[in-house]
Amino acid sequence: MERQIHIEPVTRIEGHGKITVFLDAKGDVRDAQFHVTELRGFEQFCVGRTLWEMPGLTARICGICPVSHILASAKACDAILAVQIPPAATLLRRLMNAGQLVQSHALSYFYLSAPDFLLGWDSDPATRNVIGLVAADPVLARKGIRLRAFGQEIIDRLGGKRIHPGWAVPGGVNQALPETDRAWMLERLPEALATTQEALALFKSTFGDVEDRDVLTDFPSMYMGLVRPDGAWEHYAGVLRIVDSKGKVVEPGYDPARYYEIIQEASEPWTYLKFPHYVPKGYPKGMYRVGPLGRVNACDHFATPLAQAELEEFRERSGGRSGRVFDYHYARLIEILASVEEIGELLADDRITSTEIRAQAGINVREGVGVHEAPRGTLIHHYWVDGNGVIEKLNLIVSTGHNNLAMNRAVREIAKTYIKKGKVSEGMLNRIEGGIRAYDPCLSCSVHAVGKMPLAVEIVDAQGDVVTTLARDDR
Amino acid sequence: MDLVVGVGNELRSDDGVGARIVRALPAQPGVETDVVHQLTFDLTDAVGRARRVLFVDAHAEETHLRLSRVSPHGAVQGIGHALAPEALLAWTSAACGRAPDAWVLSVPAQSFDIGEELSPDVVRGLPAAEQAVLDWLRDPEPSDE
Repeated sequence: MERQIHIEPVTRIEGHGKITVFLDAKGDVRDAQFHVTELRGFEQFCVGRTLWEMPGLTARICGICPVSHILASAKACDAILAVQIPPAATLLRRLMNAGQLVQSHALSYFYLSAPDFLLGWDSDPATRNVIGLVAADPVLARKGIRLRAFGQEIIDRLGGKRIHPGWAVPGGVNQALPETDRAWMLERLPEALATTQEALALFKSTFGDVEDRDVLTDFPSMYMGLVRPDGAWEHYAGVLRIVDSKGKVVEPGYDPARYYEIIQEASEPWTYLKFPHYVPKGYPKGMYRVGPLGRVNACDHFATPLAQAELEEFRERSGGRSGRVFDYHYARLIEILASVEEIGELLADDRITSTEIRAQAGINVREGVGVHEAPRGTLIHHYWVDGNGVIEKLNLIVSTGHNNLAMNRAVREIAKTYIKKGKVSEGMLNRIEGGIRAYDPCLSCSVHAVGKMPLAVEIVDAQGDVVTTLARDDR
Repeated sequence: MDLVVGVGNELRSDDGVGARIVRALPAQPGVETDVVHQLTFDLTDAVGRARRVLFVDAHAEETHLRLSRVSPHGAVQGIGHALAPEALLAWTSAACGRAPDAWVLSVPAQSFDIGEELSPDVVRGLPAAEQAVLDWLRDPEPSDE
């Protein structure tokens, strides 16, 4: 008799989801599905609004990633204005995105995920959270809090507030960087760098062996991220690169404005989250991964020295590109390091305090695409407008969506390890949650929905009856 | 350092009164201010560095301005989107090894609807609320009211 296992709700991620594990007649895993169960419909209700409103409107998709949406939206609007934004505006937008990478990655690593692997996968769920981490290592926990606060403060000082700053606008930004704020950022930079290096050292000393990092499964896929023309890791501009599981270049540098020629979305009736895939390989074979691991695997090198040294060590420890889900955490720390280094470089550029920060123009093109790297992966905003700049149509492909096929694959692989002949091994729920959490999915963004993200697992038999439900709501 | 935190959403009418009061405070040496929608775990570091903390927040159930002493208490669980002051102090104690002396200034509020305007009664009460914050800053051991 076939059975299904449902996991609901999934905890410590952003949004609301559920997992169903389907068992065959022998009780082994036949399939698994990660359902995203909320919908909000930004692509519908933004139609009819003006271009000038779009950064502010789409920022409301999420309270965690508003900066990402503001920047992608502003870039799409720049394209419609057909302007080149001033150098200072580019530097400032890069600075805000680097701050966003720091704060979001620190939240994911220190607050949401580190308790799993630093306290132990099978430790008591009641204390396997950031509170337990505070109790076990208050110094590290406090440093993590301050690291995140550093990224948040950069956003606050640039945009006037930490969440939903209406700062990036079509043509540039609306507020320059005062010298006092530049000085504050420079003063805090060494501490952020030291904390990141300490976290990396601890991670490597704890999980240096490949076997330690196999805990959340390992499978091949393609990887996608923006890179600079020379193949360097990039987060704001550049071209789309896709590599295969061995690092062989599949798409060397695709124009982001023509993303739709290589990326399309499929739909399934059991989830609101679509399935972007690489067009030449079709659906579902065209699975690729984005986000920290996607970017670190897709690039040739980092442009900053400390991150480059870590990349070399990462590839040496991994035997090349890594397909380990757990290595999202490793890559995330390397990206914090790269972001902190870049913040230092940006602040050292005197053009960054220029007050020439916005290009003025009207509607010059009827269609525009804005692409950049959000913490969770490549973010695409694509707008069509009429001659007055009123939105006629839009398409948003959000970071978490790119990873949808891979998250489902991870859940299936982990479930296969822990469910044999109908018996569910202790620790399955923790590992499946950890497997999803490693991607740091933002389901609020992915379906442009809001809500909590507890997890539930349901086991369903061949007749479609739910025979087991595992649930936890410890968020 | 004394820390004054304005709590509330300025797009939700009177809910934003705490934020407005704190934004209006004149800069003073030895005093830091912050404005947040809700109290979250992120504040533990700033609270942990403070000698004293005052949370200024709108309260629908209050009819008069009220200053209350608060202490670390219970509920050190989860990292949801909002903590009570007592829970934030408990978090701070766990993360920083100490929690500062802390008070809540409860400002009577009537409307939490969408909007940027304060209710007329809340507007009339603003000077007294702002003075209460200044009094707290001057008094090292304010008593509950």
